[in-house]
Amino acid sequence: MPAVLGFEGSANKIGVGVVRDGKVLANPRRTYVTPPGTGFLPGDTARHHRAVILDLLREALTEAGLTSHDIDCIAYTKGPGMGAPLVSVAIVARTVAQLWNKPLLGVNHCIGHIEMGRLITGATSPTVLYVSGGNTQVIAYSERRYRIFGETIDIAVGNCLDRFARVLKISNDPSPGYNIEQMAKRGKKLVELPYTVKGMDVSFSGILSFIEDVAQRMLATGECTPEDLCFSLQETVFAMLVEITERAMAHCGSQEALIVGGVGCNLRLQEMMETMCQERGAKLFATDERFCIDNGAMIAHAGWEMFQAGHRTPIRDSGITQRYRTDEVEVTWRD
Amino acid sequence: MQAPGGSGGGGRGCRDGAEGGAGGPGGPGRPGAPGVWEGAGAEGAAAGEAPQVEGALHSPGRGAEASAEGARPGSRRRLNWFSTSSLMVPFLSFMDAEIARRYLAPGVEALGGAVHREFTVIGSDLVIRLTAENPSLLQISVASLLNQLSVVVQAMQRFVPPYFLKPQPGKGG
Repeated sequence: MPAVLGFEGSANKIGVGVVRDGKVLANPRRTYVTPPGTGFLPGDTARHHRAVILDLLREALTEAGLTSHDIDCIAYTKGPGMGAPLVSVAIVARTVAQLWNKPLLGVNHCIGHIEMGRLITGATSPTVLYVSGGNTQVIAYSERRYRIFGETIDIAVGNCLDRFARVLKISNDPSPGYNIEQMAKRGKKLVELPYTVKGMDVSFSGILSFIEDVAQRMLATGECTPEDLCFSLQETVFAMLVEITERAMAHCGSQEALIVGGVGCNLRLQEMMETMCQERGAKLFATDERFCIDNGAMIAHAGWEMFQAGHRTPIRDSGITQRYRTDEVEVTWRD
Repeated sequence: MQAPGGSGGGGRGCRDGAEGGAGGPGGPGRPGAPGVWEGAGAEGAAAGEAPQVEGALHSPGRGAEASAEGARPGSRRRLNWFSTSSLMVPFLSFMDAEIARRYLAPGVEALGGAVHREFTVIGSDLVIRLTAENPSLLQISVASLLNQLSVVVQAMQRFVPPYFLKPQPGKGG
């Protein structure tokens, strides 16, 4: 019954998780929150991670009731993500692996989300909508790879939401997306925004440019409220995501859909996806904020799967890759 | 090495190439802990400041080459400038230095290959040599390296206590 320790720190969340045989034994996390109207920069984020990571590691071991001797493998996020934060976490993972003489595993962040989603929900072979601040992909498993059926051709949906939040100076605590969601619930008017779906792909940079341009004018003239803009943006971007997910499900003949990633916590997105799935006779799976949002346990669990399948990352290859595609990994732990 | 925020200290270091060497936060620290020796050119620099690579533009050091091409009057000469800096980090033993070397060395290419890092263990000292295309990159890479070194040493201190709590004769440890 191997126990795997996982480190995640590709963006502004840093987490350390412990998983043994599909059971999450510990999953503490910290978030680097910046003032309203600002985003998080790589250097500052890395500084935050360096300041808390060793405490988090101690906390994870204590919560799991384990010592270094009980850990069988160290997993860390190899990519994709922001360079400086990834490096700061990889350094600690590499250090601990050598200190404790344990094998090291570099894990793809996207696959961490997928595997944790499958573990928590029990979905067998779903079409996955992976939506976060850094990634937007529609993924399905085929022949030992997680294949990307559709994706954003520019910015991620979460990035679109976060940058819109800056325009309105919406608080980043606990996250800008969450605060947009709460404001959207009070929106009453649907403002028409650019809807950009290109086949299996989506584009969000145009809608962001448009809304950044018109927001101040419309608010100043009283045409709409900030709540209306939040509501309209969500409705538009989420509809785009539902469309490309449905297209992928139709292509694959899939009867399951799984939402993962930080934006997957959004209840309105889940509601819209549920409606689409019901119309198709399919089933929707989603997790809560513990596992939707970046966390260490998802890296630990993906690492556990990889460890069981015989994967190892030599120390000389234990760097990071800012652009690490989901379909680069050979998924040998699935049939 | 002390955790970041500790008091600075002077020391010796070995420098090649650009003046200004490299230093960083922390000093010899408490007994039994490794220290960071600042380059001589960084004397007077406040603890915690990013090292100033002074004089690099004026004294390119061994790394500068003048291209023979285009040396005709009126033509522009192309010079390839390299900035280098070295850090010597003392540890308690060869094994500690070797462990730190293995933690820091592999797989992390800085700044798209524009910075080259070499790690050597001499006795119980870890010698790190950085070479960059220009002083700004060198400054960034030194700061980044010191941050990484800080995390590595803290991890060693917290998770392998015997390395740093061994009583040392005459040091009151």
